[in-house]
Amino acid sequence: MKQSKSRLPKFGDWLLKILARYDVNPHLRGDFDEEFSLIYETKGFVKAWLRYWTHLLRSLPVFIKDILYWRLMMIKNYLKIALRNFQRHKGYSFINIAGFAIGMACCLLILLYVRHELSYDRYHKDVERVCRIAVDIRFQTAENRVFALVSPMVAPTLKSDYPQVEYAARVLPGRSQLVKRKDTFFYEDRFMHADQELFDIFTIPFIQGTAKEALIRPNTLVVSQRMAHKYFGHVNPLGETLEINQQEYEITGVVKDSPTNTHLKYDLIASLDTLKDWQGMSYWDSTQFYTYLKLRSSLNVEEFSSQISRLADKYIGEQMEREYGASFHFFLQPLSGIHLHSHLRNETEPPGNPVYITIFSFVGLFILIIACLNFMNLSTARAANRAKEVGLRKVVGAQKLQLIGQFLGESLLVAFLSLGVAMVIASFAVPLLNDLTGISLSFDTLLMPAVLLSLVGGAVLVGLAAGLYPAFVLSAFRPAVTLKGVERAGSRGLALRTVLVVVQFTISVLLIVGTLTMYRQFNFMKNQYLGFEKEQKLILPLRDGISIQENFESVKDIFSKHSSVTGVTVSSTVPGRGLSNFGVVPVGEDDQKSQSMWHMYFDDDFIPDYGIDIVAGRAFQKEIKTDLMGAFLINEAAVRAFGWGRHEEALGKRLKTGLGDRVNPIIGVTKNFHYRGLQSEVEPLVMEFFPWFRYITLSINITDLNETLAFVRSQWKALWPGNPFEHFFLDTDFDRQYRADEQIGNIFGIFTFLGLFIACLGLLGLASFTAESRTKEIGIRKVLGASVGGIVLMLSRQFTKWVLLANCIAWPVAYYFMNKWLENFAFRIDMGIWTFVLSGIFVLLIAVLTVSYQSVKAAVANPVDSLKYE
Amino acid sequence: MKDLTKIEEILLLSIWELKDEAYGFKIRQHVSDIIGKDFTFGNLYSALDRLTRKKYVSKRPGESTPQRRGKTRMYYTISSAGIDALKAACALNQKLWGTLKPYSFETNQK
Repeated sequence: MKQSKSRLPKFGDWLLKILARYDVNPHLRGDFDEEFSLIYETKGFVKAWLRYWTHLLRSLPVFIKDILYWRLMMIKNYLKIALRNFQRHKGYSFINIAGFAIGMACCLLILLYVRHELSYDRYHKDVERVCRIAVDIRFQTAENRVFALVSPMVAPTLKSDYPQVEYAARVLPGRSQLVKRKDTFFYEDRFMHADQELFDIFTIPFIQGTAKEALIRPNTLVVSQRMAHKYFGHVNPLGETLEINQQEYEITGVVKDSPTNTHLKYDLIASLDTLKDWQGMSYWDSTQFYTYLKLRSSLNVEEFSSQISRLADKYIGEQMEREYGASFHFFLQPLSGIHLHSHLRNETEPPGNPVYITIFSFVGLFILIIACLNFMNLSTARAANRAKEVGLRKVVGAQKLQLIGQFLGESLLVAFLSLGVAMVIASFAVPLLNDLTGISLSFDTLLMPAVLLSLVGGAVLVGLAAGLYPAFVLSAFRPAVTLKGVERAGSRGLALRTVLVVVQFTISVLLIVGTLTMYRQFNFMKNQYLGFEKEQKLILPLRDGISIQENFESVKDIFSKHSSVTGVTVSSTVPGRGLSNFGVVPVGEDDQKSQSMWHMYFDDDFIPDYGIDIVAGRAFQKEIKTDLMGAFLINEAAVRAFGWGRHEEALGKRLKTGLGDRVNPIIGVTKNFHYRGLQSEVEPLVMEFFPWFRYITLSINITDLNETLAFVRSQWKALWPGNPFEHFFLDTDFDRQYRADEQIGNIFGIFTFLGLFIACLGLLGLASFTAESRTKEIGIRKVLGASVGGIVLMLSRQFTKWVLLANCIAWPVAYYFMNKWLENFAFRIDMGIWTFVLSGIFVLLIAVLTVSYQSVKAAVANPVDSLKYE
Repeated sequence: MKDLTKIEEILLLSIWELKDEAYGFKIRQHVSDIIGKDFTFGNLYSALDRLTRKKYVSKRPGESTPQRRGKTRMYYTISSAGIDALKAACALNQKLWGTLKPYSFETNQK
């Protein structure tokens, strides 16, 4: 007997325990055991065991059918109850779904942004084998300089000397070029010369023509679809020609428009062979070409990078050493990392910032967490409404696990509904966001199967995370107590609910302080006096093909004829635009140190027109003929950089610098003015009256703007009929330097608003619940003579306390993070206490408003009604 | 009152026959013997469940034995409604078979 008992099948019993119906479960398993024992005693173990299992397996279909049937019945019931609950508590359901949906929509948008940033250049075939080569020029006496551009000799040398390199292509970036076809002409920014092998390295799909021989011949051109349409309309562009910078190019291919997620955006790619007679093509000591490599597979990129570090030494090493005291150190950058991680000189476009990706991921997570917290908060708060249902279900035999399943299922349902709503919101928000921020996201990304699948997975996760706690709380109600109606909400989980509210308001305060600080900083940067007048300056940029080096005096005269034009000056650049950089050596100093400094060229009217202060010496003067190409001005920062004590000390000192290394005396020192944005300190600047002018600045009277503009345009047409008239205002152009940061600020602002909105929804739900659960209490208080005001105060007080607590937590955290952010700017605001106080008051006000809506409603209710309640 | 299905009829008769011994294992054995086929527990309990819901049988948990590892037997007994249903089934059978003699199949087959 004992023997048989120990040999009873354990696994089979366990299987039955899971599968067999609940009501007969132990008896059925007992029957199985009894049969086994009986056969075991008469016929032995093997027979008994076989019999047991054949029996079990043959019973399986019925068991499974039973299970499915009952599950389905219960799910139908759960669904019915859930929908009834939605309908009965429309307000709650709306808050739940709206909060969740908005939170999810935020996350979707952030997901799109982050995905876009991370996807840069990853679409190229074999991208892990593609690199760009950059150069670190190390000077013995000066700071080293790292360029994204290298000499044109690097690519051919690599191909001939290193078999590890499969393809190498050079790209000569063109500044914006005047492109002409018959009567249509425009400036195009995305023009470049490139080697044929570019198409072997990058994935650039051809629509017309073939990639194989597109750029082999000189004067051939590959255009993007957009360009083909712009210049040729419906004419087949293959074989046609375009005139670019007075040179005819034959079109040999049309490619798909450049994706938005590549650092090298292209519209017009001309063959580099066009320039083969240009002597610059054999210079080793220049930095002009982006050079991309495709390495042979199974090559360690880092190792190879160190191998090629000194590749130029045998060609030019000695000469560099002798002439510049410098050496070239080349290194490779993986293509996919360029957008986010490469911040060299001459990048093709402003690089992305990995910090923002982290920040936004956190913001997205925060908002999702707030939404989840709300859901938890509301569901637990509403538990009392469901307590009776839970009690009844338990009485008729529901198990705790089943109840948990039911409530989890409900939260999943809400999560899925919200995901649907969120997708709709996102589809409307994406174009708006693109407009507002200037980034280019595509909603279609969300509809890709893989992404969609992960979204559904995410919704399940969020639904489970948000539903788990309420499910456990609800399923833990004891039927005897709940059916008596004793156990009311408020007695349970109050501490947790407090924590949830505090957490979400902490996050809201954090976001608001962040947004406020950002806006204050941007405002500060826009209104800060820059050391020159930036208002009422109309700038006319002069593109390639327009030269006023000889006749700038007469051109100035032409524009100054109008009465609204109070001043005309010409310069190599204007504040906020690019500058050139040269090594500068003070002549006759003991320590002949070459320093690299920014250079600016302008005429004698520039300093007075821009209102730049001179702190020592004098500005350029037309009357003094030697000033033209014969004198320097420097700024205060340069004085300090040379180590001269007083500004006057600089006067008369001579510098060797600039184009052609000319030696000239310093005649004056200007006050520091912000020729670049306030992100950076004012660096040393050397100014010269040198006729290399790219911009005309008109100081104008803004009153008659249209008329003035018409005058300027007509003069332009007369002077340069072949070039489109372009103009901009200095202040708006200067502020463009902050645009990238400001865009981020805008996005941040939007999310702050949404975060606060979600937090308020949560608070509203909670407040209305509290008011409802205290209906009787309020009624009795009123009967006993409490005033409406007193009751509103009583109901609002606890929320106020929480919001204040949230402020206390958020302030130091916000202080820390925003200080970090402000460190990006050389010129920045102080984090005044007012930012914090203001955010605090704002949040408190919103919270009180939210709560008081419910409180007042509860307080003014007639006590007769409220006491009849239930 | 609905007509009994064949298997319900067999089950009710078996429970009747087994009297105090009518619990899952015994019923299954009995039915298997009668129909000459192995009748599984799965089918048995879903049929018994139907009978229970129609109130033809009532069930009560009983004792356990060491062979059952502590799991109790579930005993079934026929209710008065079950007996009525059996009677009705018997009447129907007699009505169906009453005019027919067993040997008439053989003559008809020729």
